[in-house]
Amino acid sequence: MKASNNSLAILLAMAIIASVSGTWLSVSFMDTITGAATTTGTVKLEVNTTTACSAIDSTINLGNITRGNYNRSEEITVPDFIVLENTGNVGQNITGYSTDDLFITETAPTQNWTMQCNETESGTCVTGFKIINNSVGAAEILVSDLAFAAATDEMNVSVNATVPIGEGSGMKSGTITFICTFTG
Amino acid sequence: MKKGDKREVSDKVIIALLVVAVIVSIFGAYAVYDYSHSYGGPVTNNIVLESSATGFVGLNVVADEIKEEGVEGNEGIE
Repeated sequence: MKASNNSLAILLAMAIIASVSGTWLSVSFMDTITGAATTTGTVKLEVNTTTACSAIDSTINLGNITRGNYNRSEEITVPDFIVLENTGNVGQNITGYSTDDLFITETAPTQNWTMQCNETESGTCVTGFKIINNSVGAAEILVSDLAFAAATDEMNVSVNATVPIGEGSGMKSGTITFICTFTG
Repeated sequence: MKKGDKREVSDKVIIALLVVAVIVSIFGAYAVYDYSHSYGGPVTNNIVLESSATGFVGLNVVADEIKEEGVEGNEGIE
């Protein structure tokens, strides 16, 4: 039996209509599922955990120091601290390590360059000057569980620098990198 | 063609209908796929566990203080 072109045309037209109708029905059915929740709707969401921190005052200027003498953030004429803020939405531990040496003749870790937590708005301030290590793996803890809410999210870091006897005169600068980690 | 004879659809029309059928079918399948995915799966939970900040320390190493002990010790000596 040989189908005529007329029959084929009718069958193809039906196939097209069926395909379009099927698609329309499928899409409409999806909308029906959404619209069916007409009684009680429960919306659930999860705020992503974000660990972030920034230095809102990133520089300490210890002023003029002669060789063999020291200055501390707390003891200079105008006390000067690095101020860190928890800008995330979870509690954080903050550690620090040196990424650029302060002195030429004494490189980190050295007793000539130490730091401590001076004050914190929350969490536990780890006081007592500690040697600033030079690797992230040996970073010293400064504060644990610093909160993120306003007025509880800042802490101060102080630095104690003793100029080595053999250090040359002039301006010296060092860099400390602070690592802020989610306390879990 | 005699009056009353059935007109036969040409082969070209059949081929055109076939092409349309295929296109409609593919488009429909894509529409369903795209629409169903627009509902979205669970939102990817991007957890950031670590961040860092940088601080700078500066100071100025100045010339050693002048020692004046010898002078103080010689007070009163002429």
